[in-house]
Amino acid sequence: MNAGEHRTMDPFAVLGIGKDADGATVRAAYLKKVKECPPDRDAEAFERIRDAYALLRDPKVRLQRSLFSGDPKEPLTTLLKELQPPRAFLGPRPWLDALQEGS
Amino acid sequence: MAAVEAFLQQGQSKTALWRAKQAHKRWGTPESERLLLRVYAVRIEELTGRGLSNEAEALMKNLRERFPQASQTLLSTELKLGIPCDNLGSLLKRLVDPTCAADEVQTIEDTIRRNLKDPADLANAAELPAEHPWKREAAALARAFEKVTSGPASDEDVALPEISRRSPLAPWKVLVRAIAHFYRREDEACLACLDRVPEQTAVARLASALRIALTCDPKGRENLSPTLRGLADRIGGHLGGFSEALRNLDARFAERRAGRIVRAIEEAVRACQRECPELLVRLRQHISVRGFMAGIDRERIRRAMGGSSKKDAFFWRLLAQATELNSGTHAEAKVVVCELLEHFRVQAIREGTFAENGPETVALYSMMLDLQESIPPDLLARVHRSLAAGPSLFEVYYGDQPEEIRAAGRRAERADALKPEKLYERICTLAPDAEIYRCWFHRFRGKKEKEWQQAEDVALRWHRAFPRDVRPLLSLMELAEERGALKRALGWVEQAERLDGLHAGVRDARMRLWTATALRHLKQHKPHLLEKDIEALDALPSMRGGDRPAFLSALRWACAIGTGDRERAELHRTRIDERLGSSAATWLLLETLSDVCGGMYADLSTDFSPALDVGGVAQAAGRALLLAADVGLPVHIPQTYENALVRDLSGKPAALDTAALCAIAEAAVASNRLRLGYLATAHGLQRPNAPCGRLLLLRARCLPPLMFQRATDLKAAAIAFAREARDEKTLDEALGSDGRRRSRYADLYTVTPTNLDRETAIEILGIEKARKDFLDSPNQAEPWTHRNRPDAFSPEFGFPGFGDDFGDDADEEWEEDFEEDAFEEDDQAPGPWDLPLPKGIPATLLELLKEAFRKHGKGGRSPEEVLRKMDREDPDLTMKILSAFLDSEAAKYDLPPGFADRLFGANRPKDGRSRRP
Repeated sequence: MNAGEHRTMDPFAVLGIGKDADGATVRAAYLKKVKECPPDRDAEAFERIRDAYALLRDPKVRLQRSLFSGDPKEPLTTLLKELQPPRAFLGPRPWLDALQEGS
Repeated sequence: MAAVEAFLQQGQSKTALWRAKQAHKRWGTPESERLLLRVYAVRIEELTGRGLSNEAEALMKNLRERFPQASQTLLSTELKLGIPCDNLGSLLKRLVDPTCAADEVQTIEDTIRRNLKDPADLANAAELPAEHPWKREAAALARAFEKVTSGPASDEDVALPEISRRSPLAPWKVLVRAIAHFYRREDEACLACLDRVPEQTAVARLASALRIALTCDPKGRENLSPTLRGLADRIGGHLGGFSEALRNLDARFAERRAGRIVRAIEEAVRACQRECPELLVRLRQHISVRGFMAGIDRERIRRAMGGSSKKDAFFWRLLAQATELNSGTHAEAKVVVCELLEHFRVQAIREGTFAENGPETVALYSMMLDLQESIPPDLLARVHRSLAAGPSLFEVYYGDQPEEIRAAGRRAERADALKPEKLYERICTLAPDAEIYRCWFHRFRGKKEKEWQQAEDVALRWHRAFPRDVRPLLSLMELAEERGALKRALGWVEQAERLDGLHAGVRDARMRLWTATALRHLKQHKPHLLEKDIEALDALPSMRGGDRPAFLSALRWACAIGTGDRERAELHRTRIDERLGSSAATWLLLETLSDVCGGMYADLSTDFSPALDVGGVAQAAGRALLLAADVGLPVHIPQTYENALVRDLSGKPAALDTAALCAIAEAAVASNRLRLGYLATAHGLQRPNAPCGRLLLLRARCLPPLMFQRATDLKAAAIAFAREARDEKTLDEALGSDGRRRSRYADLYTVTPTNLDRETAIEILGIEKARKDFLDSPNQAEPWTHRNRPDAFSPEFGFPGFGDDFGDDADEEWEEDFEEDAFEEDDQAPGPWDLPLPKGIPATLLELLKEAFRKHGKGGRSPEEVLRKMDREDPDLTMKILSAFLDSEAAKYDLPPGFADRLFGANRPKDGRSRRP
């Protein structure tokens, strides 16, 4: 893994676990992911999973990672992801109108 | 009419159509209309056959408008040719017609699957009988669609078991399920459903709008039609204006134009207040940090935001991350990051996120340590002194903050108070860790009395915290031995042996302790004490293996020489000969021993002149140096021996193993015999399973100072290989952290040579293998480059006080007028006359430096960058400059002519012309 990948990789996301996951959860997630992506099927994904596990297996590094996850340079639009704006029910008409007008 | 038929027969459909039109105009009878429609059908078929489907569709549409009464006739043509038909009624009428063929039914099904825009149309179609399955399915689908778009729907509401996968309504069924998942925020399931909607259907357009509402993908949103975009925005709660303003702000930050950035900030804050006021605090914090990273004046950003950002834990964490990301190798910035982390810590404790002395505090202190341990100690001390002398860097940040935030901020310690010693102590108190104790001990390991006392204090604390660990005992033994407190040292060894006698360090501890004591007594010229040391060593079982008895004989030889017993000395020398197999090896061992004792026995050891046979010296040296390294004897290679070794290694050394080559390289580097070291690494690198990391590091140390770029690259590759081979010693040495703490965190946010990828390391290794001769270099530019490494002094690094002046208010007018030219690089290379060159620089050297700046100084590079570039890409010129510099230096000190020749050997450029170094 080169430096750029190392910097941007979110090991929690790679293993599909939360930031507060404990050692057992990390290990279980690692084993599950390795089963899903064995090295002979997808070597690149396997390497990513292994690197993520190598980072998170040490509780201290895991804690540091969870404290400092996120990238201060990521686009400001990602702020909107935290928002979860309400999804509006509009009834069928606007959907059907959009379909009719687009034709 | 016969003529029309004739033209049709001849395949001239266009002429036939013209004739049929004329005939219908003239007679206007049903027969003429039927003929015209038939000719049109032939014409459309011909167009379709030629691939002109758009023209055929347009013609068909025109016909339907002109001859509505003939819709069924036209439908047959449409169905036959696969032309889309918008007229659902006609399609259904044809479908229920008993004469409708099976392939026509299939075409009608496909058409409905592709074009149905409202399931209610099919449910209410009068053409279909009430019992027709499509009518039933469409009615259920219309109900489900209304339900799912009007409010929360259950799984039963969207199950639609009556619609099979082969039904023309199947795409609508998938869409309805996707909508249900969307409103339940089951995003993954929703995306999975959307992936199953066929692309060539009408519902695919709704699916694309739904996908954008889900993912907020800005590019995909731009590709939607305005109506679909509006739908996506409305259902997804999309903050159109705010989102647009943020996108614009991101783009302006990327452009790095202060005026535009400030305007974009004002716009984004306004949009946020209008559409999403709950996000204003976070937005201001992000903008503050991004503005800081761009080097824009803090007050200017504050004005644009209409107020300060909140200085809570989130802000300090973000600022620490950003500063660390931009700090590169800048020592001062790294120390400042520690202070930012401290502000984060105190604010997080205030907010209740951390416990006062919880694991998070330990993690933060560890990070501060990592950052500071990557700085050389002398430089770190200077940085601490400099920061202590100045005012607090961040007090001003709390000026307009609420009292509780200000109060917490006052508790934060300044960077100069967060020294590694304190951090080690706090970490060990909060969460005792043997590894941290080890690093702490090595930090104090020094020659000075004060350092020794601190190191002993740490080792004792380490021992108290981990009484079953032998490492603190061995450390205490080393300290005691260095002070000459032999009994005390032996006491620690005994304790260690009781704990773990099989530990590798403990097993050799007595041997190394007695060896060190013996050498000290040898230096002090105390043969009577030396004899006792030798007896103690002789009693150790570990001294009987390998070549170690030869070392005992060497000590006895030294003892005999010291007491003037030449006969006994000769006897022991013969024993060494027998054990090591050659007088050349004996001589080197005795020379090394003599050198350790300050040359006290030099005249005696050189009494005999061993035969330095061609081909045998390297073998002998390898054996003697391996023994010296094994017993902890500091190695030294004399000049005479170096010449013989260089001679041997310049040819093909017979059967010299990798360990011996490594020992020679190590000894050569330690003795400053760089050419010899280089040759040994060249041979070592050719061996299979060679320790590449170690050899590359040794080679890096053999290179002359001007080749620092190559040396840096070699170190980077050495680190990569040492990591792979788990070679801790090489790793520590290459990272410059011998025994001290090695950063586990710093790699995460800085791109330094410490994280070179394997492919590049292998590439470097391949090139180095080819460079067999000292100062040899391939006649090509380096294939790898570190140009993309973040530069600590780049304008991107905008820390107040040592950044650039980007964003000053005074520049506002200038920026507005010349904004398009902002940040353009100056193409003028700095001339050598701009450099702070010393007075009296030789003309030859000045000319060469001018040439270097002409060739490599374009784009406003600094002198350091020019030298780096030249070192990488122009080894000829590098060698010329190095040679000219050394010649001028040699002249200053009356060194013999040809000084540089001797240094460079055959590769030295002659008369200003390089012989391809």
